[in-house]
Amino acid sequence: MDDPLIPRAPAFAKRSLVWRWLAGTLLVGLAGLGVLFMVVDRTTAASSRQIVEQAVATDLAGLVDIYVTSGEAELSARIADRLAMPAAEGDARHYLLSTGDGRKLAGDLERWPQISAETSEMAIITPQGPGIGGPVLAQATMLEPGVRLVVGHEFAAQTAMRRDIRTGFALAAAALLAALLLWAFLAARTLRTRVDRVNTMFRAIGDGASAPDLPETGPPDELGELTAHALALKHRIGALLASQRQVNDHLAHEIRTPLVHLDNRLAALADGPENASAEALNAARANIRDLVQLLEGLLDIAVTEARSGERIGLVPVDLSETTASIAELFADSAEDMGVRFTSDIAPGVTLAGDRPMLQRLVSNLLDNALKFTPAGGEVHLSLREGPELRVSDTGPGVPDDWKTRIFQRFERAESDTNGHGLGLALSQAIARRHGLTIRVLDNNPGAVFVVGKRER
Amino acid sequence: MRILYIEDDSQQASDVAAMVEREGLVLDHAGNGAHGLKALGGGDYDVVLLDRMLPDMSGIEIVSKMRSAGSEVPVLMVSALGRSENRVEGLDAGVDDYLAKPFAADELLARLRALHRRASGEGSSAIILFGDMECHVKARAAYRQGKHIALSPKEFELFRYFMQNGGEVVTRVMLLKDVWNLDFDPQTNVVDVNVGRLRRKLEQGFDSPVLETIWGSGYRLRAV
Repeated sequence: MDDPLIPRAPAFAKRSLVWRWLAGTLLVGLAGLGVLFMVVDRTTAASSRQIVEQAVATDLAGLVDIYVTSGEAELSARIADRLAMPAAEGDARHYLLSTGDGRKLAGDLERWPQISAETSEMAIITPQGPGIGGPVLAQATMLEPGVRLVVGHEFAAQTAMRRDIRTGFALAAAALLAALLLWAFLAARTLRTRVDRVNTMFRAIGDGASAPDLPETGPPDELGELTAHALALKHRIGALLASQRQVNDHLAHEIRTPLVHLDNRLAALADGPENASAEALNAARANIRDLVQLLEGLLDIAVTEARSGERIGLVPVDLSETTASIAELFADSAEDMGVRFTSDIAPGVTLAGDRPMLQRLVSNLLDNALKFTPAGGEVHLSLREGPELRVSDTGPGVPDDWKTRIFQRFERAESDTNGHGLGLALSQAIARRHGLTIRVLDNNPGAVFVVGKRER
Repeated sequence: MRILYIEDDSQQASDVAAMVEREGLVLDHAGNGAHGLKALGGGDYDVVLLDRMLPDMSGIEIVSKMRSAGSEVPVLMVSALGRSENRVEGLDAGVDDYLAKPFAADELLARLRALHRRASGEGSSAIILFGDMECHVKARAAYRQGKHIALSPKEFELFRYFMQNGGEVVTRVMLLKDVWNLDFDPQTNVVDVNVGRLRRKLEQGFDSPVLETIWGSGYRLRAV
């Protein structure tokens, strides 16, 4: 977590997108909890009232039975019994047996409540008096004309249960909120730390500083994948910058040399205009042409690389015919150099391509092979369907650590004093432009350059 | 040789005019396609030098119009777009030769002359005579001072090309294009080696050289 390479962004807690996710989660979670609470609360209220109502109705029915079978004295005695029984707190029962004009015959209620005995009304009443704890659900009935009975049960226990449920829900909501906040905080911190590493790296690249390497990409999730991509991109940018620096350094050197020669020649002419022989002037022009050739080579590579993979502008090229023409062109050179040059060209090999560029490719490879093959050696050119073009020689070969480097701009063998080391870089760019690759293999002795389809 | 140059860049036009007139050729300049086509209708030109991109119409359009109007004046198109598809498009439209900008003076002059010669039918006869040399096109035989010179098929092609362009500068790019059918400059000495072999065969046993190298541009077959 505390990687010294990666400064934690200040006030990350305020900026993290985790908070937005959290707000949504909270909204949904609390709304769900609210709905659940309402359902539970309503159901509990309804069912607890039903329980009390049934108890009251049963109690009343029992007492009516006693009155009917045993008379008023027995009923009064039973009421006294029931009142004498200890009740759980909040569960007390209250009775009143009275005459029609309000005289109390039995029970603990002092006055007839606001409830109709004629219609056997059931209602919540709030009687006053000793031993009464709270509201009472009561039902009244006429036992006979002039005698009426009211039975009431307190229901504080049910009310308490409802209160407990409410408290439970409130606590659950608070706990959920706290847990989500904690989770969001931790998630935000983890996310921030991981994203910050990538951000820090990109910021450094943007600032032109050398970006720190990421110590790890983290778990293989989507962020891990993103980090891995970022890392790969960083390495690619690094390689490109290095290659650009290398090209710039080389270019400066390659341009300076002919310019210095040119300057010296012009200085000599300035000292004595009589020295201006055709030879001296041509030597100066040779310096200029060398420079132009260098720049054209670089332009060719740049243009070819820029159009890599582009199909527009490619026309069907008879590679067999073109290769044969180039082989014919180089045959005399090979003979002059004492190199045995053979070719084996399959007829009718065609490719959608840029004709002059493909010619450059074949010619560069042949020219290269002849340049490095000593007298008495051999160079063989072959073309097969695929297409696959091979140019093999019996020269010194290419050491393993040069097999990639050899295709970079300005990289050339020490023995190669002619040219600028652009030929193989251009060849590679041309191959890629046509969706082909170019590789160099060992020929034992010598080297084989193979141009062919990308290996899958 | 009368040349019509259709080019909107007046600096480029005057540079080329100076280049061409130094060689004793006549050059008229038209600043856009419409003027160019009008000049073509009135004047008697041997070669048209045509810029590919003009403000009012493209060079390709001009050539198409010329060809559909029955004009057979050879056209050399110059363009900064040296890409092969542009070349192919130009040649399809009826352009006779294509030169990428920027070009060297020698290259331009050599191409103009070659086009002119080809159009005027010189060098297409069965036997080409130049200096003390003979080229028997059908028999594929070469003679100098009446002596047969044995040439390989490719050497004969090269010899015939020099004979057709006798006395004129022939550039490496022209040789590659017309003799080997290659559209690029390998920037090595392969052409020199091939020309060198022909030169040896043409000059061995004779007193005077006939095939000279023009530094920086190409070769010229001289009449002895």
